[in-house]
Amino acid sequence: MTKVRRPKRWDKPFSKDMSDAIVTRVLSTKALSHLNAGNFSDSLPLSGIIANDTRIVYFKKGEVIVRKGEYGGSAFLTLSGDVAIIKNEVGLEIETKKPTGLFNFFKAAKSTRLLDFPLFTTHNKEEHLTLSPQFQHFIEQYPDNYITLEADSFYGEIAALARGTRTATVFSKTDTEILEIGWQGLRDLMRYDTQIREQVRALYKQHSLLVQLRNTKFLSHLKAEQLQQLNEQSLFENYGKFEWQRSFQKVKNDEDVNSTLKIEPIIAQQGDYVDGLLLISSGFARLSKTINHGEKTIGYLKQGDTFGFDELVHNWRTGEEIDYQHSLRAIGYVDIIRIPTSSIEKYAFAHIDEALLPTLINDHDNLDYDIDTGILEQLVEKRFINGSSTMVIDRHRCTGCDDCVSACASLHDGQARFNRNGAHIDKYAITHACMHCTDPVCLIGCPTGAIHRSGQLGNIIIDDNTCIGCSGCANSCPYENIIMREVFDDSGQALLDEQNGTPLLKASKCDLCIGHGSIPACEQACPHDALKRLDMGNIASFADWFNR
Amino acid sequence: MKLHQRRLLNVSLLVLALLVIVFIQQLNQYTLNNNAFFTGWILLVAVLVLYLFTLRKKITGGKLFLKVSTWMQLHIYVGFFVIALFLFHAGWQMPEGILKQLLYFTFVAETLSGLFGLCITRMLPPCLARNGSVLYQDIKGKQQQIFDDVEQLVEQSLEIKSNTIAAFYQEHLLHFLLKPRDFWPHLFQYKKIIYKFEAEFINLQRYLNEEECEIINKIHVLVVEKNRLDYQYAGQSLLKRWLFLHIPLSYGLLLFAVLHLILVYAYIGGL
Repeated sequence: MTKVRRPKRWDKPFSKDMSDAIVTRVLSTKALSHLNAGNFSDSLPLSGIIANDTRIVYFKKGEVIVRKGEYGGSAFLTLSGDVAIIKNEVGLEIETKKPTGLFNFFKAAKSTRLLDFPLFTTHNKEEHLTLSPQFQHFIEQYPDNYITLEADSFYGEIAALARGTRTATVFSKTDTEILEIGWQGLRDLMRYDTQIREQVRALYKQHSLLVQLRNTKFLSHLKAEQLQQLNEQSLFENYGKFEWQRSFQKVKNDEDVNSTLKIEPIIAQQGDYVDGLLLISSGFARLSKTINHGEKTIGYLKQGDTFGFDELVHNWRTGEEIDYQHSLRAIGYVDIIRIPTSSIEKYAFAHIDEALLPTLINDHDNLDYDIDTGILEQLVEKRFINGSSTMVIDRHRCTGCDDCVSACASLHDGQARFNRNGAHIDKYAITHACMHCTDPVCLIGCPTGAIHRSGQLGNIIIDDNTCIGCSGCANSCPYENIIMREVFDDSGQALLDEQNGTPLLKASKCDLCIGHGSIPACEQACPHDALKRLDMGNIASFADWFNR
Repeated sequence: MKLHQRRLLNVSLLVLALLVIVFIQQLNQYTLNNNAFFTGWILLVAVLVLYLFTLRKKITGGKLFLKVSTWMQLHIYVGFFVIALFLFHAGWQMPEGILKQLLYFTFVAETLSGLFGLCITRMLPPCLARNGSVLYQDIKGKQQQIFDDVEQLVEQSLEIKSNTIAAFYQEHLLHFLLKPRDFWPHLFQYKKIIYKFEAEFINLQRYLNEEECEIINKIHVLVVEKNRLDYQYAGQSLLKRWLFLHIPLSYGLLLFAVLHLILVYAYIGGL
């Protein structure tokens, strides 16, 4: 047994370069000068947050600060220089994806290449990604393609708050000095300072609205001023609790099948007047239809999906006034953009090619995907739809050979990172393996940022060096997929707290075998095709596997 | 690819491979080449391919290797191919000589164990799943918990000054609860054991008061659960243990095959 000091938050700061002088300078900037150190607690002083949870980053002209589609858990504040957001990157990207599978072998790679030059130059890990000279020239030629951000304004808050991907690419227009605020720092600044909280939330709404409208397919034909009109007339609403896992954990084992339904706030009710089009900006929402006295789940909506579109089109075409055909409920925390009916008719429908619009409403229960209602109900009810790499085992094919467990253990120092136990839904088992959630609530409370998303792939991973073993993530995970393990030194001795002699712990969970091939070892090792990591956000894809 | 499509593809490839073998054998007859050498060498190579499956299973996290399930499919269908090839090679008759017969019977035993394994890995998991899956390593712990709970309930019954339940426990349940029981009856889905318990519980209830009935009902639930765990234990044990036959036989087969090869070449003067 070896006794050591229990690790603490800020043992490993975001950057080692944040000297007292730099902290003082940062706190004197326009955006942060109003901060009152007296509002902060003794254990989390303002200067400590700035010194340990932020860092200064320098970008040269043309360098990319954040890249659309990448995962990030930090926000930014420009200290000097100009930065710009690329407004509409959709269609400019070069996305080349070769279809996989034996029968797709000879198919050509799918490409959405519209510009015949690369948008970004390749980069190594040491350097920032840079706009290619051609792309830089293209952007400068068409200034409508970007928005310049004023100094002292925050950005990058959408990914940080919504625990998701960056929604736009931001680049440096001049040489810039930027303060990057880690999620933990942003969370605590927002907790102790009302002004920052209001400012960031307002920006979050404003930016989400813009991004969502810009990325909505049937609005893409609108001109900038029409989009601006829609932006001004749209409402940004949020439903459910940001830390939804607490209420869910209370009811998830209830025998009452409607207990989770009861904690899901209603966004729109079947039979209500169609007052607008709802765009899901972040989170998940349950789509259901009333059957007798109950609600039948017929699907769920995720970021980028719309609700009420078919009804709006039907009413606009026929002059009838049918109501919402389904109900929409917030599963966890959901951001919604509500575009009023009159605005959508005026700006979107009046100028759209009618061939792009859906047919009239006949029978809405006939959705495209083919999955048993009972399975779907349970997946939504237990919120497994949150998983992007959910480990699903087909119990009718699993022989219990434990090859999956052995494979996992052999890649992780002899300790498997999952437990084959789990919820049984029909013939499937959803095991206790990290699902790498779309909305990873385990990240919210981590004091050090040890549990975080990896930049490009978005996997949720734990940095053992910064994990202080507080168990916050394990307690937050609504699926009980994170376990606390004892820590051992190189000689195999358990590490104990020098003060009270209790074992030191670290959080442990599936890391999707990063660096060991594209398919996790568990899935690779299954000899009977019984185990699959499924993206539950893609209902068509997992329905395909369920019906194989 | 859907599973039935995969099966169709694999069967088609197997039939195609066998047709090619038959065709080459015909050709060999016309060209006076020795078919026994041709099928023998193909057989040895195919058997070695079967061994590659074990090697693949030992490699974890490789980027270049196919999934183990793909290797499993290869193992199954090459296995079928090997059976047909073996029959071609042996000339559809029992060979003469001790070594050849040893090789023959080892192959038959290996094939039967493989086919048995294939059948149970396809048939047992759905049955076990319908019965309510439980992890193999948890079964004994759960059974011990049941044993402790039943003992506690029996003690509870003694506290209310009744030894009827204790006597019933001693006579009918203790042996059953001590460890996993009825391995073979469970594998053959033989339900008589639990039906017998059901009848005994019903009979016993005639002689119990309300308080005792409450206790015996709880014991009844635990006995049913123990029986369910016994079924899981039997099924999952078989799924694990059949390999203890299949794998050692495969090594024996390889040994005899190599000896056979050496002797064949020794006799024809090739060595």
